[in-house]
Amino acid sequence: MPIILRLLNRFLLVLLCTGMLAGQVHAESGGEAAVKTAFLYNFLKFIDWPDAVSHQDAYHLCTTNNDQLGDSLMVLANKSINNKPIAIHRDIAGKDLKTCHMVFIAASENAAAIVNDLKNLPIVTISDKAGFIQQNGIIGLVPIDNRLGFEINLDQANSVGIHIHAQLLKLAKYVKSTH
Amino acid sequence: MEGSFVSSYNLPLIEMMPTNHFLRLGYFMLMAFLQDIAMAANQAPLEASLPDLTELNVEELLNIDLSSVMKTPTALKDVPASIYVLTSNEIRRTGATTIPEALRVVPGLHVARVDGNKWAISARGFNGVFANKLLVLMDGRAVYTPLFSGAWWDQEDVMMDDIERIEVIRGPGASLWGTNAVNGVINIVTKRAKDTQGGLVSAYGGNMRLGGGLRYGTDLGDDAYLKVYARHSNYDEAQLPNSNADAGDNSRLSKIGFRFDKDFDNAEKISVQGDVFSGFSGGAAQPLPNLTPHELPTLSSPYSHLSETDLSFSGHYIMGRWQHAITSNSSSALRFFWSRNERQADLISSGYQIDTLDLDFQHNLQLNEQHYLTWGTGARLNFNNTTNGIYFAWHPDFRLDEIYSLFVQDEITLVPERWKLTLGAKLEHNPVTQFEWQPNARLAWTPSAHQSFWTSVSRAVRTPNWWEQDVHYNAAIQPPKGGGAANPANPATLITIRGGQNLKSEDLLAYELGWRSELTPGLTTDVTLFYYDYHHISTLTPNTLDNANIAAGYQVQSSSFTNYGLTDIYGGEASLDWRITEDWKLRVSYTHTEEKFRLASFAPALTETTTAGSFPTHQAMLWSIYQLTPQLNLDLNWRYVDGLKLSSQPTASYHELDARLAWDVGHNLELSLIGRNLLNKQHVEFGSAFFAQATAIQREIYATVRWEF
Repeated sequence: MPIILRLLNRFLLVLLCTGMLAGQVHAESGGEAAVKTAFLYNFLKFIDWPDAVSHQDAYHLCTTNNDQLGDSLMVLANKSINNKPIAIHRDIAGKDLKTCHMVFIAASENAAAIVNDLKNLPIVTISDKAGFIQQNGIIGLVPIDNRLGFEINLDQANSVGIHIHAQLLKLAKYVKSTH
Repeated sequence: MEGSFVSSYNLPLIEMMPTNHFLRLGYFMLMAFLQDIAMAANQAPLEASLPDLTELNVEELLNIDLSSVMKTPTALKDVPASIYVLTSNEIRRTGATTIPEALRVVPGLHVARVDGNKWAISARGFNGVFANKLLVLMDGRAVYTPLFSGAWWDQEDVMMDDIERIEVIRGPGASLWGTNAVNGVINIVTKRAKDTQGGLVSAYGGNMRLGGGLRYGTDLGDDAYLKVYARHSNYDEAQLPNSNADAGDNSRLSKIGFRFDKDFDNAEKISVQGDVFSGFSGGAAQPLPNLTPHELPTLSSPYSHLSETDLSFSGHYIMGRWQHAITSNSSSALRFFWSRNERQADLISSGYQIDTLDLDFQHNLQLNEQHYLTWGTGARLNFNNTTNGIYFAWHPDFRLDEIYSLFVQDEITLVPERWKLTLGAKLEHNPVTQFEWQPNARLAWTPSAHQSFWTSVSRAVRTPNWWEQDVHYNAAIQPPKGGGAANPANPATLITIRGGQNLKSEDLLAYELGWRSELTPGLTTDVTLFYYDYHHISTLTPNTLDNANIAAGYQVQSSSFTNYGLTDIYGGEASLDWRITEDWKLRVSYTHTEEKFRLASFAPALTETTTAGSFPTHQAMLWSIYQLTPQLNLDLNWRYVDGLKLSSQPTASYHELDARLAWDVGHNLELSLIGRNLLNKQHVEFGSAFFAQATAIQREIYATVRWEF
């Protein structure tokens, strides 16, 4: 159809004329870290740990190397949930993560190996690595268009006695559950 | 620019606005701005305070647009416009089975149900079934008919469970979205195939409606996902107002569709989606003139007859999108769609088929710490092919419009975390009025993490639609005096409406002022004041009486569309969100809108407006969202809508109540019971228009089932 070609022609012309606008790019995004931090805080609120580990005096939130959460994560240092403070431990090596309640695994790390070490312990593993819950991770942070959402591996959480509240399950983009 | 704040002050109507507060606040903002600038200059580099979003709940976090918060992440409260996002959970809790029902809870929108399948939806005035200043998008695709520059809500029906969110912007969005985004933009965003894996069955049934849908999503491997869905809905006919007679406004719609998404290494995404639909929207009977096959009036009684206003329709669309993230701070998107819509009024042998082809490109770019640039260009083709009847025809019966556009927007961080200026403009070329220029400036001030102020000035236009240009509508016969047979001394008069020549775009200069605040944790408020100054508003002007055929016993009085209206619309919207406990949320909103309509001094005699009095002056809503137990939800929605002063058919004010009780049975099964319009047996929400005859809106009870597997 010639009319389509004409349309395409003019379109491409405008595209070319304005394409010169694209320039140099830099700047690190602090917003995303703040959103991730706020998610971690909310997850702590809506998760119950088995009695054996829930009697501790603080919530131990750990991160691996390169967590990319910057200073944002530190806003949690002054917060408490159910009158329990949040203890933050950063840049923790894989083998030292076993005493944490919640572990944030950076996308750059070998998530599969870390999860494999922790998968029989009541630890909520969280990562923004693609396909995280397919690797037995418990909560995956996933981009949805320009927004951030999360997926939950309920089977894995159940198998280690971690209870995730229905309010959270309802808002998950995807819940992996065989029941 | 055709007006300014200063010259506006000379108009008497502005006295009704809180001008002093307007001015004071503007002055206050200016001073604060200068102070912040001075501070920023003195303490370089500025230590940016840490954004703390932990006060937001999970649902609010899910709604944060990372692209708009790259620099200052403060969720929606930082956006310098009246924006409201209805989340999928909120949509479910409205109990709505159609999009217009869900839109009733959006603060500041005028939503009126005209009959069983027709809706009048607008923001800030100019409402009607053929409302033409609101842009409606589905996943970014304009579902806009160039016929009357509006949306057919009966065909824009999707599975409510498939909607991710509905974004509503009140106010001009023309600098980004182009002509037609004059009074507002509604963007309906559906879920990605990846987020709808597995099956979903939903169904509803009650005294007025019956329908349901099925959706199934599957993982194709390699980051590719597909979903398919089918939906059917059926709405029963209502009664005629103040009567027990059936109105004939029953309707039905069937739709099937799919969506395919594939990601390549998170840097590239493609998605292809489409649907096919077919439906019927019945309408109550309306008087039509008795005409001969040659469009001549009958010359003896009866001069008119009643005809039902049924419409049958069908259509489809296919859309492809490609998104490419060049770096984390630069991304581009290319979109193409083809949509076809057909609609037939068999009883008057009129119909149309419209094809739209659209190609868009957009690029977002974080240039540096200060500038976030968005630019794009697009081309659209609209084809119209009509079937002409004796009552209703289009001249010409085929036309093709080409529209080209280019826009640029720069979001400038003047003072990090404090001041943001957005400048943008869209240039569009259309075949009727040629070039249209739609600029916009927005300034946002965030003095603390808990509140923000914003103000904007924008220009937006609505280009003449096909109805205004091409219509040939034989509306009525004015019988001779006494009502007997017509003769040269006492002729019958045929009243017709014709498309106008040399039409201009309706244009708007809009001023807005907004305030958002988190008063205490859990209590937030959003207030907007606006003043709209419209020129060239569509009017009807009578032509010279055509008495060439007076010897045969009739004459013709035609009227043509013109642009002699000058309208001012002003008012405000306020809403309050109060999270009383984790389980109980209250939402209150109030909207006040007024208009002043006048004709240009040079308008010919007897010119009249067709749009005055189309919206309520006062409108209020109270919505209680309550979780009784983790399994039981009880939601109540009360609303008050002031009477409409449409000169032809005023309506009375009304109070109504909707209620929903939902039970989460477990095993991904949810049952709910919904009552609509519980306070009155019937009420009327809007007046009739051509092919949109008002019927009674009745009390209704229905149950829904929703099961995911």
